[in-house]
Amino acid sequence: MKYSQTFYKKKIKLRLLFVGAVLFCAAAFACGLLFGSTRLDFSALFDGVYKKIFLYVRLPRALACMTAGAGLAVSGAVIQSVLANRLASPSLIGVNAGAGLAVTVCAALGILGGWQSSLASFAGAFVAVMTVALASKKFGASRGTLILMGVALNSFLNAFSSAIVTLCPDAGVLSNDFKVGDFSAITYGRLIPAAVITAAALFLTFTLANMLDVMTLGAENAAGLGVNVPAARTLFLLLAALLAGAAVSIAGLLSFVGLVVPHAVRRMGVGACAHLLPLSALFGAGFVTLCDLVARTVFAPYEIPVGIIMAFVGAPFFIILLIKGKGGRAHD
Amino acid sequence: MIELRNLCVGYGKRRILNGISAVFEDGKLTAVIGPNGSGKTTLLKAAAAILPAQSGEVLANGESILTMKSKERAKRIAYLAQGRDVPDMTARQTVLHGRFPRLSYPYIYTEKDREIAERAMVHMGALDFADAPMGSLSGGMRQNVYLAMALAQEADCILLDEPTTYLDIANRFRMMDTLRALADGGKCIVAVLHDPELAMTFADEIAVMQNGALIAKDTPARIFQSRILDRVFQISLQKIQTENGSTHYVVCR
Repeated sequence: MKYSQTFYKKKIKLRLLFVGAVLFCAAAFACGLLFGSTRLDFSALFDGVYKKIFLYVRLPRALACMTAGAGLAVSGAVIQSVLANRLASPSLIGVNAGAGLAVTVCAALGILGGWQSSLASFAGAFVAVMTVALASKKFGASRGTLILMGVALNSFLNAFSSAIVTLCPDAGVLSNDFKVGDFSAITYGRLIPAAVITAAALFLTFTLANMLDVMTLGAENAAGLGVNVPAARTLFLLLAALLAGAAVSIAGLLSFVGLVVPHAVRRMGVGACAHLLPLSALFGAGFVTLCDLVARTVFAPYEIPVGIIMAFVGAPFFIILLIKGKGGRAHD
Repeated sequence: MIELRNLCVGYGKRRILNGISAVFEDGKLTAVIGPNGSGKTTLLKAAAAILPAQSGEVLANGESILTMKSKERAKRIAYLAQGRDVPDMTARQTVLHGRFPRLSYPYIYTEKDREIAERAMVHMGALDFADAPMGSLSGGMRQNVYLAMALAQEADCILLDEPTTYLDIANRFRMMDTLRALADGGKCIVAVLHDPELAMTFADEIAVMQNGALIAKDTPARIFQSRILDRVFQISLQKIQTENGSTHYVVCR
């Protein structure tokens, strides 16, 4: 089989992109381990106090950043592909509103942080997304209707949260940290279940990349290629809900990653899901880890929530991408 | 060959197709035409089993496809929707997805799949822009890519919903020539068309739909003689003979 020169050029570019993404991710992870309000170097890792900082503070936190970043970025890429909408992100179909309500209920009941809060936020996000996904499957809703159902559910759940905060103002204050998103309270107990769910969901999503690509050809063309579209759409939303739910359970609401990272990867000329998904995972993991590093170090020894840094860094970056980025259709 | 037996299709309680029976043969290009809302697209979707039938039967080479698994059905019938989704991938990747019905989990394309996709691109003249993103291609190029995808599917029957929509006149003729050539090569080609002139000039058979019923299915010459299109579309269809002896049809008011 003869391939064109463009094919080989693209192949080389793609390989370089993967190498770059792995290096970026590894560098962000190393920086996340070594830098902070206390600077560590590798030789200090065998020292008593520093070893404890490394093992019980830096390592779980860096791993949590990688887990949440990879999960949210891939979740965003999946949702954007399934719904054929570049503005779609986990928050659009109920992740944030569902998790936010669950944590507000926990706060009103006096449950603060810990595994119960993590579990509740995961369950809240998961139940919200699956409500949208299953309702759309049952009623045979189109992609557009599915998005509108997500918007309506968001409003409904947020109204519930607001009602609880009105009746119990302390719940609003206590759940506020969660809503901004940060990693300061991470422990292995909260990290491990989320990491296991994320790893399993990522593996399954990556192996279904070609099916996701076929879905982007449009529902009827996908059906013509033998895909059971309603079932496949529900499966992908389930995977996206698992990834986003696991991420919010350890990081709170980091809504920007799922939107900006897949966009950035697409702007690098990557379209096919088989490449888009793993590259989004690597860049998402690195991006969140770096943002967390900034959040920990700019005002050290004080910390600001990573969600704030992410919005400050991510929003202008996203706007620059949209303005400067090439792409789009040359013909229509 | 696709055979429809007393096929009834609808959305909820609303009946769209009323007891359609027809045979679409291999080696023939059949054009389905009719006014807006007459049920052409519904007929095509039902024939591809993308839309469930309320009653009746659809057979592909004698086998019922309504109870078949969707991948088995996709090996027999390729369906190209009119949809305007432009995928975020190259032409080569799009064509390769024509092999999807042949895959099982974890859905990894083999070297054989890539070779078949490449042959389909050569057949459709799409190899020159194989590695260009779909978004950068013109409407005509994109249609060729989608047809290459359908060829890579290696189904005996290809159903196309308005394949000439959005194409300029030169590309419309090219598309019809391509469909003609595929039919001459032995495929069963069924295309919903909006343009009676194109349909009458290029197709072997014309299926005329009106109000959810198939009111005629015959050769263009007999359809012309019956003046049925004049009545259905409220037009006057004229036949012209060119200097080189070919027959064309033109629509007058």
